[in-house]
This record gives sequence, structure tokens and C-alpha cells, in this order.
Amino acid sequence: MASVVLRNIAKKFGKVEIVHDLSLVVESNALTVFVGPSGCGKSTILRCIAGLEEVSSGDVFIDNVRVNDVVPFKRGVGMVFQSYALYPHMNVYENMRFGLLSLGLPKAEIHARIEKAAEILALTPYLQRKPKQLSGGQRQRVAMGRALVRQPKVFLFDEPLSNLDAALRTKMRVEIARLRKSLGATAIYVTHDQVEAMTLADKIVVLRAGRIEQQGSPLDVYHNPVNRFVASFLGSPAMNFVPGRLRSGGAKSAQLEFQKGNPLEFSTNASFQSGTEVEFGIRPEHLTINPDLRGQLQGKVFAVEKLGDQALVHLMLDRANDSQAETTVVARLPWDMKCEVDTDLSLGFDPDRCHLFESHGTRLESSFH
Amino acid sequence: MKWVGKIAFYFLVTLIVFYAVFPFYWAVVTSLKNGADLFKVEWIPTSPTLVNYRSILTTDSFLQSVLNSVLVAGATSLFALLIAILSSYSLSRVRFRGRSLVLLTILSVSMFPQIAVLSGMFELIRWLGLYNTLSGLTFCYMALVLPFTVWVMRGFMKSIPKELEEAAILDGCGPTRIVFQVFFPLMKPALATTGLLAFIAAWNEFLFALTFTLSSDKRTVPVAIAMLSGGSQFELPWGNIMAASVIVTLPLIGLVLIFQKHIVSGLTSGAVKG
Amino acid sequence: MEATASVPVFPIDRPASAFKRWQQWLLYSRVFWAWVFLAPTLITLVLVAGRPLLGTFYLSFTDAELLTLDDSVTWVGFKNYAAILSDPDWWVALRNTLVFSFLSVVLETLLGLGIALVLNEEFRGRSFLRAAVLVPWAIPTVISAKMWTWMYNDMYGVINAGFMALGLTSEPVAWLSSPSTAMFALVMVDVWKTTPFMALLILAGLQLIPKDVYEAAKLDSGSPFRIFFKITLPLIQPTIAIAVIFRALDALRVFDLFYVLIGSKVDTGTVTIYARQRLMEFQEFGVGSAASVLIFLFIGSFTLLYLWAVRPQRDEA
Repeated sequence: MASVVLRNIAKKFGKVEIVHDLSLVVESNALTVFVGPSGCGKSTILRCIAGLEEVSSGDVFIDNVRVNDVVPFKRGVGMVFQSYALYPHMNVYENMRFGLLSLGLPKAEIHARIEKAAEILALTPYLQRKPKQLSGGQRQRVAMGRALVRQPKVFLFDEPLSNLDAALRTKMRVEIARLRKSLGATAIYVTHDQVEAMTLADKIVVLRAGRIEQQGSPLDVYHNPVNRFVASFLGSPAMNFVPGRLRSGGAKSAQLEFQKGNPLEFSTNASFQSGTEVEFGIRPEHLTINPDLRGQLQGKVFAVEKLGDQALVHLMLDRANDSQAETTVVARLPWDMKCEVDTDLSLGFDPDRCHLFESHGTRLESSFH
Repeated sequence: MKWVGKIAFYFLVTLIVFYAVFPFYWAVVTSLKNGADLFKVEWIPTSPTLVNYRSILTTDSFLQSVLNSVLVAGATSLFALLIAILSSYSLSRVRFRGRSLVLLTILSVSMFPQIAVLSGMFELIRWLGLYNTLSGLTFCYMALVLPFTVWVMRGFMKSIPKELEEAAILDGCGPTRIVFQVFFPLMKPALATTGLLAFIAAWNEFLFALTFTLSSDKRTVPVAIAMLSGGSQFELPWGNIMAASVIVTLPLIGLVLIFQKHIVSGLTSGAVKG
Repeated sequence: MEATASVPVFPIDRPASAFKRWQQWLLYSRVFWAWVFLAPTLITLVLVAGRPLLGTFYLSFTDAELLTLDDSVTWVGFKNYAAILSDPDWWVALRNTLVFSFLSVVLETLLGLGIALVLNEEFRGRSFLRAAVLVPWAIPTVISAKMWTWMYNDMYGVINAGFMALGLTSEPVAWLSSPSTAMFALVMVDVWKTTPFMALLILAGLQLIPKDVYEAAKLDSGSPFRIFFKITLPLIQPTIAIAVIFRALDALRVFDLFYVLIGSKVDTGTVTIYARQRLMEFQEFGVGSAASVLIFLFIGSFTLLYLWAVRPQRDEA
């Protein structure tokens, strides 16, 4: 069931269009993450849903009702801001109560809701404290409580964890996921952090420059990116891209040349011209030191980063000829990997793990054999 | 080498402190002297006396002028704050057509030379029947105080994070509730600072006070002190003048020192950050 | 994209009643409330600034006098302006104003810069120094003028005593009596009174410079003078420019200081003294207003300069 529906929305600031003709369905009882680099319009879309910005064209529906002309607080959304945005002059209890007063609820009801939210969020001992007497994590929970007590149809999170330090961020991430599941609530979560996106999301929406690049379950998007941008955005270290050239090899099959010798055979339904420049992408974790695999990359090690549980080995690929640009790849290898800088190394990979991208970025439907 | 530099630096600091504070110190010294002592140059009065203070504090017209100044400066800063908190919200938080024009107008009014409105103001407050009244003075002080009050408050209000206002919008606040229930409590230090700046401006004003009052019972402190005189031009009662000066200056210095951090940020937000 | 196709089509609800929309607009429209909130300020400014300014302009073209202000006045065209521009006293006053403003602003800037640099250092007693520097600023101009009048006193003044003790002068000087020393004396008082303001403005500019810029500069070049001229000065130059114009505008309209220290004497007076004298002492409202308008136009051109200087920061919100 759809909870939030955006139909052909666009947002302009002055003459600059930030969001272009975008349509999207946000499912209920699921957490949808908008992810993308800064300036991709993810926060703007969230603010359009909240009503903090008006869409320039198109329609916003929440629970099947068009809300374009509905003021923010009557849209039934609860929002958690990046800076928490707690009222500094009110204590925790008053912070949560402030919005409920506008709703005109009976006193007893207001009290009950706040008590319950405080219990869920473990804030009961802090109800009388002012925000500045709380730790970062506690403030974060108050911000969530303020959204929670309103019993919104949809929760909106605008980069809620980016003000926290790394350790606390991980902890809060788990807590948000647990809390949302237990409430069964609908939520939209905006972040530029792909780890948050992968771990929290039921559905990921990858945005770039005001357009949706891809949407789907995290694993689907991770393993089947529709284009080079999505492929490079998700995953850390990012996917490696190696330039190559296509050679026709009869009907529905082709060869990919990327280094001297051993071209890879693959089949495809796409039509292309022989000699087309392409790139193939392979994730660091799919590169190994297995010489038996069909795919092989030769190069010189130029840096090794030992992370304790793993080693990141950076390889400068041997060039097919002098005119070819230098290409580096990084491989995620076992931590006890013996390998010296400036030595030659050969990395193997399973061609089935590869993605082929045309020069303008879209993925070429293909399967290696 | 290092300690030579240090000594030179502290010598410089001492010099600056001496330069800044000496005239006021000298006023205090003078105010504690009487009779022939007044005309001797001495660092510390040999026979200090409070007779000047007793004399000035029993002068009804001086006390009246202090009261007048408190009333006029108090009323001016209060009205200016009330009006400015509203308009500074509009000017700092809302985008609307004509905002730049309004901002420029306010900024240029704060640059007006007072003399440019003097004759027009004279005519106006005479016509309103406010000539030689404290309300008349308060009225024309608004021209002096309101523009920079709006400007300074706008600076403070701009520094309130945008997300806080958005949280309030989602909590169902319209602009009135945002200003009075969310911003107003946060602006209390800013209000104190701006109010103090407005109060000082009105308290120190001379040209309007001199021109728009006639009788001694309507004079403000600066006019009263400027007019303090003895029997003749050459027999100015310096002891009394300095005692009066110290009395009206000490509270100001005290307030300024208490609020110095805020005052500096208020002053600079008006001028540097624009 | 396949996502577009799956967007369900909802019926768009009947628009709310006109009354309801009006009510909602009234409660939540930010632009509407922005103007409501601005109204008191704008009305007040029209009353206390706009109306009097127009009044002054009007009077400057009439033969109004203080005593006949309430009766009908006669339009005389530019006669008052001609009278002022042919009055040598006006030109003396204008020259005095310019000399005074130039000298005091230059001295204040140099001194203010020095004090700001000292205040920008970390040292014991820094907050004490800042407090001390604020003292002159907090003292009403009239009172500081009185204090300095007493210090300048030719017979018993501490300045003469000090100068003689230091051997700078052999006999007491009547500082405020002759035009040449009076100008110097007045500039000194103004510099004393307003340098703190200058210093604080420049200090604010200094503190906007990130610390690591200095640290990097110290590693690159040892000489503090080089750092000052190559790093500090260029970075605070915009602040200084704004502060200078700000102060110049203030100095050009100076009144209290001259009035209290030397009275309404035109040979050592400023244009404001001149205009007020024509207005209130000679009771020539027409001529005095014309002088006021000239001052307004003169300072107005400086104001435009200031507005131009703050322009880039003006509307970034």
C-alpha cells in the first residue's frame, strides 16, 4: 500500500530547477532511504513532503489525500532534523508537548502520549531536563520523541545522525531500525551516507541532480546497479572501473578487451559497433588472488592499507599501450595477505561479477560465459 | 630577548589602559575636591570630600533631569524593541518582494544626519503639541534608535538556526507563535543587549534634547550638565559638574562592562556583518 | 522509467471553500505576516523620519522664521540656498567639518587598529584591557566633552600641567581659544571617545580570520611585520573600509563635542553647528533648513558609498 505518492513533482528556486519531474511511491510500514551526493535534491524532496517547501508543479499525496495546499502540521508528518532543532528554552516534556498543544488534544491524552514515548525511548528520567543538559544521543532521542508523540502517518528523517560521532552513529542507527520496526511505522530517511542507506533501508532510492537513478531493495541496487553512477555511489571502497573495448564475436556474443591478451567472452542482446569504448566495473571484494579465475588483471602494487580485518591493495594496471590512461583498482584481500609495494601482482575475478557500462554510463545487459 | 618583548607589550597595554581610563579617573578625582584644592594638580586628592556629591544630589533640577532621562531613554528603548522584534523577524526570516528595498531604507535612515530632520521635526512636534514634553523627545528619539535596533535584532535573529523555525512550523506554529513562543524566549539576551544599546543612544542624545526642550524641568541629563554653570562664564562649578558626570556615567560603565561581550557582538553585527 | 508508470492516479479533492482557504492563508502565510510585522516599523519611520525630512525640504524653500512658523510662509525658491552658498561662514564651517572628520577618522583608524591587534593577542589581563577600552565609549559625549574642557583648562588643566612637567610647553596654552589649537584639541577628544568603537569593529574583523591561516603563515615566514602586511591587513581591509565609512558618517555630523567645548562659534564650528545656529539662534528657519538639506545631501553621498561597501553581505539570508 502506498503511503506517500509524489506525482511529477518539480521544485524550482528562482530560475534553478532542483527537482525535475519526479514520481515516486513510498510504501507504508517500510523505511525508504533517499540517498545521493549533496545537491542531489534529496532533502528538498523531503521538505516538499513535509510542506516546508512548496512544490513548483506536480502533486504530493499522503495517505491518498492530496496535500499540496495543506499546511505542514496538518499533513500528519513527524520530522527529525539533522541539528535536532529542540527548543532550548523548554525541557524534554515541554518539547514533546509543544506540537500536541497545536493539535488541540485533551490534557490527559497529551500526558499519556508523552509518557509512552518517553518510555519507549528511555527518556523518562530526563523529562524535566533542558536540551543543553542532555548528551547528543539523548537529544537525538528527544527529537524522535517529538515526532513520535504526534503519531504521524509518516516519519521524516533529515540526515539525523550526521551530527553524532562515529561510535554513537552506529548505536543510534541500530536503535532507529529497531524502533521503526517495532512501531511498524512508515518512514522516509534522507542521508548521504551509503552505510546508513544499506543497513536501514527496506527500499533505497538513489538520486542524482534531482532525478531518481534507481530504486529497489538495498541488495538489489547494490548488486544490479542500472548505471555507472549508482554502481560507484554504493560500496566502500567504491567499485573499480577499467576501460576496455568491445569486439563483435558473432550473433549475441562479444569479446571484451581491456589489457593485453585474454579477452573475455560474453553474450548480449544489445547491438553495438565493434570497437566501442566501454568500462567494466568490479567491486573490491570480488577481486582475489586466485589464478584459476577467467578474469585476470595484471599490475603493480603501489599501496597497501592494512585495516586489521582486511587489507586494501591498490594496483596500478599494466597498460595495453602507452597512449592508454593509467588505471588503478583496489582489492579487498585477507588481512594476512603478503604483498609488497612495487611488486607485480595478478588479481583474478569471476566475470559474472562484472558489470559493463557504456561510455554514457548505462549498464549494458550482458552475461559472461 | 623574549622578556624584553613581553615588557614592551605590557608597557603598551598599560599605556592603552591609561589613555582610555585617565580622563574618567581625572573626573572622579576632581569631583572629590573642593575649594582651592580644585585648582591643584594632584593624582590623589589630599583632602577628599563628598561635598560636591551632596550639593548635586540636593539640586532638584539635576534629579529631575536624571528622572527625565530615565523615562525618555526607557520608553524609547522599550518601544523600539517592541516594534523591532516584529520587523526583524520579517527582515531576517521571510523572503518577500521588496525586502531589500525595506532593508536599504532602514539602513539609510540610520545614517541620516540628525540636523536634516531638525527643522521639520521642530515644526512637526510643535504641531502635535509635543514641544517641550518628554513624549515629544521619545517620539523623535525613535528616528534615532529604531533603525539600528531593527538592524541589530535582525543580526541576532538571523543566527537562530533555520531548522528550529521549521520544527515550530511542523508543530503547528504560524508566524505569530514562532515569534512570541519560540524566538522571543531565545532572544532574551539579544533583547537585553539591543535594549541597552538603544537606552545608551537615547540617554546620550544631545541635539534633539537641547532643541526640543525649553524649561529646566524637561531637560535630560546631557543638557542639564551642559547648562550647569556658576555665577559667571569664568566660574564654572567644576566640582559639581564632575560629580554629576560621575553619577550619570558610573551606572552606564557598570552596565557596559556587565554586558560587554554581548555589546561587542551587537555593535559588530550592525556594522561588520551587514 | 518504470517507476513513473506505477504511480497510481488519485482523484484530486475538491478545493477547500474560499473561506477556509482565506482563513488558512491568514494564519500561516509568511509573506502576509511579514508585512503585518513590518507595518509598525514602517509607519513609525514615515512619521519620525520621512515626514520631518520632507518638512525640512519644504521649509528650505520658504522664508519661514521661528516666530512665524505657525503663520503662512512664502515660497522663495532657491534664495536660501543662494544665501548660504555665498556666506563665507558656511565654507569655513564646511572646511572645519572636513578637516575634523579627516583627522579624527585617520587617527582613530590607526589607533583602533593598534588596539585591536593588542586585543587579538592572548595574554593575561586581556578582558581587563577590553573593559578599560570600552569606558570612553560608555561615557556620554556631552560628559566627555565637559571632562576634557576641564582637562584643557588654560590655568588649572591637567594637560597643561603634564605638558609643562614633560617640558613640551614652557607656559600654559589656551587650547580651546585659538582656532588652530582648538581643532587639534577637538580631534583629540573625538579620537579618545570613538577609538574603542573602531578597535572593537576591527577586532571583530580580526577574529573572523581563521587561526590556522596565522599558524601556516608563521611556519612560512618568521617576520611578524611581513605577516601583518601580507596576511592580516589584506584580510581585514574590507572590515576597515566599512568601519572608516561608518565613522566618517558619524564625524561629519558632529555637534555635541563642538557645542560643549567651544560653543556656537562659527570660525571653529562645523556645518551642523552652523545650521543649528541659523535655525535656533538666528531663528531663520528657511535658511537653516536649506543648510540642513545641503548637509543631508552631502552626507547622503557618503551614505551611498557605505551602502555600496556593505552591498555584498547585504542580502545573503
